[in-house]
Amino acid sequence: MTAASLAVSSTDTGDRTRTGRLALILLALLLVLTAIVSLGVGPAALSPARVVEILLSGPRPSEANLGDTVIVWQIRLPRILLGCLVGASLACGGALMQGLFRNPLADPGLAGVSSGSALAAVAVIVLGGGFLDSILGPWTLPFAAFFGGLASTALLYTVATSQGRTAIATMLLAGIALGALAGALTGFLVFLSDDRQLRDITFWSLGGLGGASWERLWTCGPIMVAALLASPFLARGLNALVLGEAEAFHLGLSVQRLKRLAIVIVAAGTAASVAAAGVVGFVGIVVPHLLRLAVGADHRFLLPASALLGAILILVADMAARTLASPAELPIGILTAILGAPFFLWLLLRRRGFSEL
Amino acid sequence: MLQLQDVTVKAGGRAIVSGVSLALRAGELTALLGPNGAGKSTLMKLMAGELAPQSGQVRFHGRLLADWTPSELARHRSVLPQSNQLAFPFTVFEVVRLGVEARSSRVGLEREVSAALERVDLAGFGARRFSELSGGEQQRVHLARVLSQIGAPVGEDGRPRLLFLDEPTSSLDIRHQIAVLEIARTFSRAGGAVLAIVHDLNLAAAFADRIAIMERGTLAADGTPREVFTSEVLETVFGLPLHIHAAEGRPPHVVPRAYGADFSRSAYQQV
Repeated sequence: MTAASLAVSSTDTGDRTRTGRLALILLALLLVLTAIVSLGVGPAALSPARVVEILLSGPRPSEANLGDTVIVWQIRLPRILLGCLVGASLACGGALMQGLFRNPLADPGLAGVSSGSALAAVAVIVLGGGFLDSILGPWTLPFAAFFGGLASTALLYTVATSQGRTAIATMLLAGIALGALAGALTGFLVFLSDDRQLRDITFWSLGGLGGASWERLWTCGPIMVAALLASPFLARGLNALVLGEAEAFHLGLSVQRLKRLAIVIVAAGTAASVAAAGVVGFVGIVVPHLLRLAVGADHRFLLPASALLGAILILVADMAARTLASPAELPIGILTAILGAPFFLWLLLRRRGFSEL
Repeated sequence: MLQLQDVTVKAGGRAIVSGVSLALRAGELTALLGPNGAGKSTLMKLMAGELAPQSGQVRFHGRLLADWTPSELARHRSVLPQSNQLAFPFTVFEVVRLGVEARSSRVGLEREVSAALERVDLAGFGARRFSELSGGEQQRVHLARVLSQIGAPVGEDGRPRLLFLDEPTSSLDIRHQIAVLEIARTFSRAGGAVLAIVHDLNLAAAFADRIAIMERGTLAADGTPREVFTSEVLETVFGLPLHIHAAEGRPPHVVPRAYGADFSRSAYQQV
């Protein structure tokens, strides 16, 4: 890989800043290319040149390219943008979570977000939104998913915090317990559901960008954008935290504030992404892990690079989801898990090989 | 510059530190000695601001330690940890840079890191993975980081800086043990203050201006090496018969009385 060879060429001083910058530029270019290709993929195939032409001519359709403009601007663009934000939020959230837990195997799901979101969403599908339905209409499900995720994170945070200090290990264990409880309640609701509801639940829990629209982008997008923009400010703190909590404090960091900020950012970003596209697994673990091998563990580069690669990965998975079983659509969570899980196992085996040396 | 006034720390109903008063002064290298579990590390955590006492006060430059923000503290004192594992693979450069950045000077960062590494005899180690170094090398990388964080022994504001070293020589060979303590002494001679937890009595006596000895959470002795190194103090605290040589004009020197000969239980029980 190019990134790996770059890492070797600039390691004379051990300063990997240049490698990191170069990786960010390459990933940004790759993301733009992937997005353009992705905009052209579908039942009505468009060449990348045609996609660029339509993008440049603006959202107002002219006589000559009415159909293509509608396809690109109304159908595919919101989906691509939402996909980018979902992938970026999940991967960047993974990197934040791993930095916070000081463990490369941590995942945004550990903060209790996914389980809480899933429970709330399934509850809405099976039991109905009640009075929320009358106010929010079709937004009831994403709304419930978002606040379900935030609520379970808040609960976990409260359990793990005493005397103003959050015990990260306790939060991890409580997350497992809460996940099991939410899983059981979700299972009970599934048991109560009818066939149609069951199908909705399955599709939602496997994730997908099928519901993407400009409206959904405008509701879920800003939260994800805010979380993504806030995360680089945690980079220096997370770097210090690599040494340990006491050492980070000695280096001048307000550790408790860092933890609180990181948890809020991850919870908001992940909850919004779950609300937008359901539960999409493995992006949060695989992407940061891969980048650490290529650009190192410096969070100033790891966080933005994770966001970029996460977005690329979701776009590629979504292209596959749209084309493999066309005209039907595969849930995107199936693809990320099929690719992600074996890859993750391979990483673990490799890691074991290293530690046994 | 730092005063402990009658501080007590309890954990699980047991007093780990009880009623200790101690002052660290600029220009002094203070060695903190004592048997395992005497409360040395806890006392250091109190002074570093990591732990708040249940009773008593800690003042740093005249101000209560609890009123300092973490970043203010970081500019006035730095702490060398005993040993630690990194969560992620940083290079040596990246570890030392954390110290330089804490002082928030961004100019000449690369040069500063390599100068710090040179100071601890690790020139050219910047690109190595921290986790692949030996224990002693890792300890010296952290020393380079901590020295970069604190900068000059007396800051531009005229205030002396404080350096905490928790067993800085524990995994070093003898040459580097001396080199590290010489760095600490140079720092204190130039107007800074150093507190080092040391287990080697003779190294402590050779380098420290002042020695504080802890025993079961209290301060058993506090004074110059010559004042403190008496058989009453040391044999009681460490529970071992000792020969103490104190030739005129040289630091005192301690050897266990049973060295090399019969080191049976009776040797402990004589005291």
